[in-house]
Amino acid sequence: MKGSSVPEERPQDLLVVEDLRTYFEVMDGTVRAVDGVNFSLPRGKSIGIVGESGSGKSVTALTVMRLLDMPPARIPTGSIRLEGRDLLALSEDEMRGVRGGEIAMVFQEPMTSLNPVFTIGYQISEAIIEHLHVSRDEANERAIAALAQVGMSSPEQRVKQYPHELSGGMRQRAMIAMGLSCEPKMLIADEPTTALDVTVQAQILDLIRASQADLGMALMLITHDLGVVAEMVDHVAVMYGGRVVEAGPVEQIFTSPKHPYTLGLLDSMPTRAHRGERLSVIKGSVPNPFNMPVGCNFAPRCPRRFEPCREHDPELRPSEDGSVTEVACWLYAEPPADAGVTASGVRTSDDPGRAEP
Amino acid sequence: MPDRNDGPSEPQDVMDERVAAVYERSGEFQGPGDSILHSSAARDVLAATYDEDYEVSLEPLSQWQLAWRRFRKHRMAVVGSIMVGIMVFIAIFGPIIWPYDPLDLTRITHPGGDPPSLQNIFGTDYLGRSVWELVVNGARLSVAFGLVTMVIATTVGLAVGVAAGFYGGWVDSLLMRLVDLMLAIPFLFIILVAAAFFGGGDPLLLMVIFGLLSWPTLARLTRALYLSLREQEYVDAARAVGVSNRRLAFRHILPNALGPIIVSATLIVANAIILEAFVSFLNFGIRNTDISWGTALSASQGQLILGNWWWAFFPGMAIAFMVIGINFMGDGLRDAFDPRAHD
Amino acid sequence: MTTYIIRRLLGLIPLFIGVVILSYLLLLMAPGGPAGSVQANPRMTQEIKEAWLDRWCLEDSKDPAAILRMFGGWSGILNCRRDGFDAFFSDEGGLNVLPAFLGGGDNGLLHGDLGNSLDTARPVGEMIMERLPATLVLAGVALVLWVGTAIVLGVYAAVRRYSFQDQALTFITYIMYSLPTFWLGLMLIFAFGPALHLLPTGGVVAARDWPAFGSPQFWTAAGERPLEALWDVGRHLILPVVTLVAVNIAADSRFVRASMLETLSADFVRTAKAKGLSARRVIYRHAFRNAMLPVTTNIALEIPFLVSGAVVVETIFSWPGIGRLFITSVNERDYYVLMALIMMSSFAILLANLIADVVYAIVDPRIRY
Repeated sequence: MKGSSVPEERPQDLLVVEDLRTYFEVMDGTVRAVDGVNFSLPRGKSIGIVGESGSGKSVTALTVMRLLDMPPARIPTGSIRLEGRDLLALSEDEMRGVRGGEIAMVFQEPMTSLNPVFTIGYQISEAIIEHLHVSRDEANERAIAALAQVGMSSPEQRVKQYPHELSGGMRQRAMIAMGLSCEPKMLIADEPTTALDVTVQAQILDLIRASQADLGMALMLITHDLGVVAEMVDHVAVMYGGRVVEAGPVEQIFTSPKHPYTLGLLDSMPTRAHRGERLSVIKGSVPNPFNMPVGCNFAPRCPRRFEPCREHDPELRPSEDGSVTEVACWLYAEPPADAGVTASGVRTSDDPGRAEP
Repeated sequence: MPDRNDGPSEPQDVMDERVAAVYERSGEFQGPGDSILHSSAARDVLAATYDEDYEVSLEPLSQWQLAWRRFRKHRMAVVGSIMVGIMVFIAIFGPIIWPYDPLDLTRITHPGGDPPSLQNIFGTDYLGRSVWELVVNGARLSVAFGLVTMVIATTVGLAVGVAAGFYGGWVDSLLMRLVDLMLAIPFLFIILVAAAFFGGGDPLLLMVIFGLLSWPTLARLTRALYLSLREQEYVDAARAVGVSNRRLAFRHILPNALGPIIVSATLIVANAIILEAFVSFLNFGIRNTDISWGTALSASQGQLILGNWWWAFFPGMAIAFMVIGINFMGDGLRDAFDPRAHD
Repeated sequence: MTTYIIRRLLGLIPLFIGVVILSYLLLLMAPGGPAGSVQANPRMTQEIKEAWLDRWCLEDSKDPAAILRMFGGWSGILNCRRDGFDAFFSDEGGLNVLPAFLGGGDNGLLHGDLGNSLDTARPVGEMIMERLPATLVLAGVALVLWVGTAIVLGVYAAVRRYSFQDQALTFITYIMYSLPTFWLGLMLIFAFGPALHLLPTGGVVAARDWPAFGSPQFWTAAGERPLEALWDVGRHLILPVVTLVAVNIAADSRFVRASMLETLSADFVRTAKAKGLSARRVIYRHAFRNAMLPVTTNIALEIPFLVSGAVVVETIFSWPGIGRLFITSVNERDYYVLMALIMMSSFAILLANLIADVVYAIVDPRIRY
């Protein structure tokens, strides 16, 4: 799982995102929602993008799908290569073929994500006709099959029903059916279960996992819920302030987290072991998007910050102890020479912050 | 280790299971309490204060201050406010600076009046009186009409709307039936009849009549707002603390509903001004001896056909100017209170 | 659906009764009451006055019983010539409320008798029917133009948001929206009449070429020369219709635009885009239908202003419709005509609201009764 600044593209990689930046120009300034994100997703595998709200995880997904309105949003640099083709270089017509046909997306709010005035059968068939160019009748047949595949009871009746006649869990199933109906190579799921009850959550997650296995589909799962991540994905990328701060296989992230933010996230999970005690929190709050800190974005809240953190942005690279995980933190990399101090805390000059003469 | 056969009972349990599964897979599972994260050494490391002066602090602004800020930035709103300001200034000081003497017939040179010229910027009417003076003096009554009507309509409309929306039940049904009834009859019909039969040409009485007929729409709006706002959680919270109904309705909910209500009130001002003009134009409104923009227009229609346009044009322009200003302001107010609706 | 319609219709009945009562209150508040307004009328001879007073059982009394009897006679519920309990029965013997051929009475509202004009002594119904075609033509054409233009402009502005066209349109609509309708009419009359001599500025048809619009003679003449009639009416229609709907178009196009913009940012539109549908499909299939729902309601709520606007326009343009009749009746204190007009237009408005609700229910599957 590579995430370093120049990811090599291996033949088994389905999606390679390289130095992606998405900025929003609004009245009060520029919001750097995504500020240099790198990751790659091999065929058939899954990656979980984790972070608090405001970390840029949803914007990353929307950028991959090019669903953002370009006047306020712009993509100054970066590439998104799907099987070698840079999606950012495609025309709108070509991109439309990708959307739904090669990459499908499922959103967070099943209540409002379906058009209330059309039947769900119509909405699923619409996608099928658009990408597979079949007749209306055949599209309808496939829609029924898709609904059956996601475990909906009596799909022939469901096809004729309207979204408001279905429960939240069923609507999300319908959304997933819609996404899978064109047999895409990859599914992006943006907080697919956040708006659902806990019991339904488990069912939907199982469904996604099973579909992934059936179709050999890759999965990009976006969530703030570490428990979901633990269960669902092979690799994890932790995002903070528009950047990936740590990335690696899920087991490594959970057992030996490196970045202080990751540590904080894991520690704040309520677990049975600490029943009755106060939940620990990461002090402070997400930085003001118009006024990102100089240096490491997390430094103001980091309990282990030291001098280089306030001046220099750490890059995502394998930590020096040779593990597979990549991390963006001066604790695990050699800070630039003029930072005044090395990782082990030895000062190189009496005046921290001043370069050596 | 959580017993899988129990099934998830709380979010914690579900989380536990998943985390446990991960730990199992990695082969480093140690059991609750032993994980590296939960060692006291790790906790010490994490328990540090954060740097206060590093954070960018934002002083909290009240809702009103925020709204005022947005209003100020809105170009159209500022332009509108200036326009309205000019008109109000003219309404207050105009008659003092340019007094109108209906008997001053010295300026007439043509039958039908003079077109605009350097001596009479707006021209003269058929008796030679300056149209500029007509407009400037008429501003007072017309603007007053707008304001007084708005005050009366808003007071009644708010009262009815709050009663219906907040208390609900039979009060709601009754009041809404009344509103429906008033809205079923065409507005202009009822205004014309009321003004002609009961107005008697008296400006103040007419303002009251207008106000008493303009409240239904505002009442409906207020009621709708209250119906949705009273379901908000802070209402339950306040009730739980023992806040009385009346206090709840006025101190707690009303500030949140004020945005659309204020916008609606500005529209009432604009409508009242136009209405007064039309009603007076038809001679059902203010008696001819008083001047408003409407009375200034009333005799001008005959002249139009003859080609003497200025008499009808300028008073109407004054109305349009005022109403445009009010609408610009209203738009700014709407955006100020609900930036999500921003274009 | 039919049950929904029936239920709504039934719900309208108390409202309509309220309107009827309110209208009668107008007559009661006239100086001298119902009787006084007849007795004081200078245009009627003594015989006519007495026949009138007798037919409607009008008396100069503030006694509630007397008032109820007069109201009953006017509305057709009671046979006012009889006293006490007998008043409920017609001269034929049946319940007075029933239609005449079933043995009921023939007086009052329920039996189609709207009274007579105090001004011309003609039956009110006849007078109204004469004027109605002119107003219907005006309002009908105006409604189509209004809805069509508002939707087209609004959608156009929403789709081209922030473009020059959008901003220009926004500016223009703001100005238009703020103009007093009657002043706009006056200015248009001046511009196209005395100044440019382009269009006729009064009446429905050129008075020297045609008999009065709405009269039987007109229909005969129009039948002989249909195209010419159409052309003449059309020419005369242009200015009044434009005046009538200019303000409404401006206001509604903004509303349509706002509704479209709001819908375009909805989640399901995002889903539609994520499915790879073309922009055209997303806008005109998915967004448009949803955006039109609040627009329908809004237009229905604004139909009363079409009626009010007709009064304004008919006055300015000397259009011989019921709006002008209304103004004349106010001037002449012709109560019976006024009452009839108020009731009729209220009924039209309530009906329009009902139709709008039904249309909404048809289009939005979430509303099912």
